[in-house]
Amino acid sequence: MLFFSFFRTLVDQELKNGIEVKGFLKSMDQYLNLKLDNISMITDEVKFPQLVAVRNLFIRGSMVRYIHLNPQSISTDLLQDASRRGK
Amino acid sequence: MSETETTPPASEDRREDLYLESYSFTTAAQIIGSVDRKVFVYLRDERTIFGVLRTFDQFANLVIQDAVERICLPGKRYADEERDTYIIRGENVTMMGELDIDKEDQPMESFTRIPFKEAEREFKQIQHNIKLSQAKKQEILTKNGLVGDYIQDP
Repeated sequence: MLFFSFFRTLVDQELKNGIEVKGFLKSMDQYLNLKLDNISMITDEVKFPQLVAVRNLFIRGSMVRYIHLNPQSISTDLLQDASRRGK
Repeated sequence: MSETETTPPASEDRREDLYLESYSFTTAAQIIGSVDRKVFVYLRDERTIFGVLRTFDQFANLVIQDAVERICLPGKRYADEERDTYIIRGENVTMMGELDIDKEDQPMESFTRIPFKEAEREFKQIQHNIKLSQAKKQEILTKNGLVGDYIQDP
């Protein structure tokens, strides 16, 4: 589980319909379904006023376009190691 | 009570550990904490449904009880419509969030409620406009060999 290395780092991701979400990665699975904590930002606040009351967010992997990780919070060495181990 | 009665045999103990280990990276493990809690579900066609999550499966198919569909429109307006029970097919789910029931009404206080029919009409118009602009974009992209995946159903 490569992405396990990034657990508890801040991720910023965009979904296929242009929504952008930011939060702490809490868990993920084989389908790239994600669970985020502390949702701090979303592009369209008009459309999601309920977001202040959200405790955690489950995002279906099929709707994810990309996940962005802050370069300061990841270790490239660890990432290289994890990708090459091929487990 | 003797010790043998209170502690399970060692082999059974290990089996349980094994189960928990394989369980931690599944869809089920992510959603199970939200069962019987109030959630909002954001669907692929941009609709938002609020309700109590009753059950789910590995595809994120969801059963939502006492569902309310809410439309939020620009200009701080919203509309609610009660919908009873939903069984949502997983492929239509974009995201699902657990709501803090103490805070959930807070953001709506500054909103004005309008009739649902009216909101629905405006919402569909907005969706239609998005669809048109996306179609135009897609046409240009396809012409240049880029097949995108932004497809919104009407």
